[in-house]
Amino acid sequence: MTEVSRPAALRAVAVSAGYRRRRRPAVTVLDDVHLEARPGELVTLIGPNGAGKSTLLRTLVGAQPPLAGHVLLDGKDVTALSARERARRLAVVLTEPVDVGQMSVAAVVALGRMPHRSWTGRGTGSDRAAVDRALVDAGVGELRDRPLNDLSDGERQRVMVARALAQEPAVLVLDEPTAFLDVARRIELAAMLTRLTATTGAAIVLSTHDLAFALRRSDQVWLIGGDGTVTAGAPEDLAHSDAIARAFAGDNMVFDDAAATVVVADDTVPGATLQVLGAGRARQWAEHAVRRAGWTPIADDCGRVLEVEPGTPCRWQLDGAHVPHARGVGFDTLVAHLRDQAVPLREDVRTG
Amino acid sequence: MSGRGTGVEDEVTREVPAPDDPRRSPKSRRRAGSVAALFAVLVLLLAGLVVVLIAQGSIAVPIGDVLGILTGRGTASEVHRTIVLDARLPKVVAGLLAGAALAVGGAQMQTLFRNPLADPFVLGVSSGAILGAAVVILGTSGVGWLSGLGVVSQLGVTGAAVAGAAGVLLIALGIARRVGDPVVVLVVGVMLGYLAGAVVDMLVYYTDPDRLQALATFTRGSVRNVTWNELQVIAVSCAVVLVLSVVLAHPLNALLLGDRYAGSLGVNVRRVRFLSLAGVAVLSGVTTAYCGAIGFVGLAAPHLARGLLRTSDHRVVLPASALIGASVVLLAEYVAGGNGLTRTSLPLNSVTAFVGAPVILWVLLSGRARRSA
Repeated sequence: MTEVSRPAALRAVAVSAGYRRRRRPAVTVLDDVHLEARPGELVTLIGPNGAGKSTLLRTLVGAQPPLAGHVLLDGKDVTALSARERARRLAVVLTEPVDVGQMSVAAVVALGRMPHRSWTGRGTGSDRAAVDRALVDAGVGELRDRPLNDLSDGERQRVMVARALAQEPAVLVLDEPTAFLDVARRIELAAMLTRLTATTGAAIVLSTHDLAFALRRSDQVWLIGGDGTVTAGAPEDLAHSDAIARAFAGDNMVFDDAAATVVVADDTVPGATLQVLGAGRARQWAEHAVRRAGWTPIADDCGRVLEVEPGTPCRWQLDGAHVPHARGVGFDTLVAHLRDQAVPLREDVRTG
Repeated sequence: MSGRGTGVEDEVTREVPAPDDPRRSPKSRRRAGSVAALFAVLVLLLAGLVVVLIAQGSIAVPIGDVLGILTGRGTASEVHRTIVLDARLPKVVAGLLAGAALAVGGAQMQTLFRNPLADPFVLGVSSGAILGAAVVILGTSGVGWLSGLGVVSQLGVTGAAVAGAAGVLLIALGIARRVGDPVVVLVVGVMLGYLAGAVVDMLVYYTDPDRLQALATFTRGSVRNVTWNELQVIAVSCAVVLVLSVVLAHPLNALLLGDRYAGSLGVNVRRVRFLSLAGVAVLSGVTTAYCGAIGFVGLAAPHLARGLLRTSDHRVVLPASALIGASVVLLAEYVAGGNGLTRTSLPLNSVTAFVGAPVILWVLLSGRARRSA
């Protein structure tokens, strides 16, 4: 029962988002959006480029007023809050790089205390404690005395998260936080954000292009279709109902359930099928190689059997009634061999 | 409230008292100590320059007498008293205030423009002030240099200078927000300065040659004509704006992160930018109206302050810039002709350029100007 009555940290009620223009009708990008992010939830916002991710985020953080409807932050209309009141409840991490000149990590993070301070900007004990906690939570406690400009992109991004945490917000909004990071930094940041939902109790909303991360880590996905609608739901629901596949649909693209992301559609030759025998990862990557060569792996015996042995490099052998016997070592030779085989096979299918 | 268990969080922080945090105490305490020491050195340097500059001149006054007169318990002669208090002190105070004003204005402009090369002189703001003042001086009949004017006319000229400075600032900022590249903005500022200068030249060409000398002093920078009467205007306006700048220090720190981040921290970016620019316009307008266009101080002093303090925090950079700027102007004044060693005196700009030009070159060559906008 308590779960149901938990108030939303951030709510969009019948929001239309878009741009007002001078002496011309406003452009509506998103229409009649209903969304709700609860405390401690990790919400990812996904959608194709140009669908309105940035417009929605800007509207949710109060940087641009909604064309219709209300954005509620802790139950209060975000456009009615003063900038300071808003900053005490909501913090943002932007994509744009910052250049602060000579400033230590601790000083940058301390800027996050600004909405809580008096106009003289004097820090109190609770300000210092909040900065220390933010540094530790974002995993940059060790860097506190280093100049921000000396840090790597991944470290800087974490410092900017720490600065946002120092605001002690109820809602933390991140605009493509993983955009400039390599795979390892991305995973670190993702793990950190997941931890933060538990340690800070804040609702975290982030936009990303990384579908696999969005589906694996988030409690809720907000999917922007290209048609001005926003669908909210559990990642599995959106994937299972093909909503994600439809939103990202394009030529030569399919949604791969196993990889939980959109992948290039295989360019297969009709009738070029074979059965793969083997175990574990060897078999998995053998099927990968088969697809890359333009063939389709199937479960039944079709007179063409590929057998792989575990071990590196992998030994393979091709056998069966409809295919000349061949063997080799390594997947590169397998792909080369299968590609050579693919063209005559098509004629087999036609004649047989 | 947010209903996210803040009470529990507060309990945790109360259990960790600030003093037993091992990472913070030693290093930050050492830093605070060195900052205080640096400020003490700067204040002493400035005080020393004030005394030396008052002592030196065509009639030398012993340093002991100067100290006695300044502290009000001297046994110095009436002649020395008059020289120190009526002839030299106003000029020294004017130079001090001008240096501080230009440096604080420059430091704010560098943050507002997100450009390490911004300063009132380089971006043509001083030229705009001269243009504004020149229009009033040359346009009103029969009056020459400011010292001949009553307070009301003085304020008129000063107001025109401030308006001219504000005009150039607005144009420069408008361009800076469209063109990201600091070097382009720098060139634009230089061109605006030339343009304002050209208009002044045109005005001069069509007016009485008697006033040429007055304007020539104006464009080269000098604090030698300032009297107590005029100093009141400089002192009051500079004091007001310098105090305002202290209040702006914290929001300016947020602006270092960029406009959007500053906005997300609850800073009213438009208001801060307006107040800061208005302050810069007053500082450079007033300074230029009374002391002429003093170049490069506004550019160099903030860089020296940041370099010495190793921080961009405006709460210490602004006061340190003020002290350094004041010292640089007084030092330049000493070299330029206040030392009593030469009969002729140099324009202040010829001396300040020795400090400013190397700083510009250093900023350009070290790549600091190549920020991504």
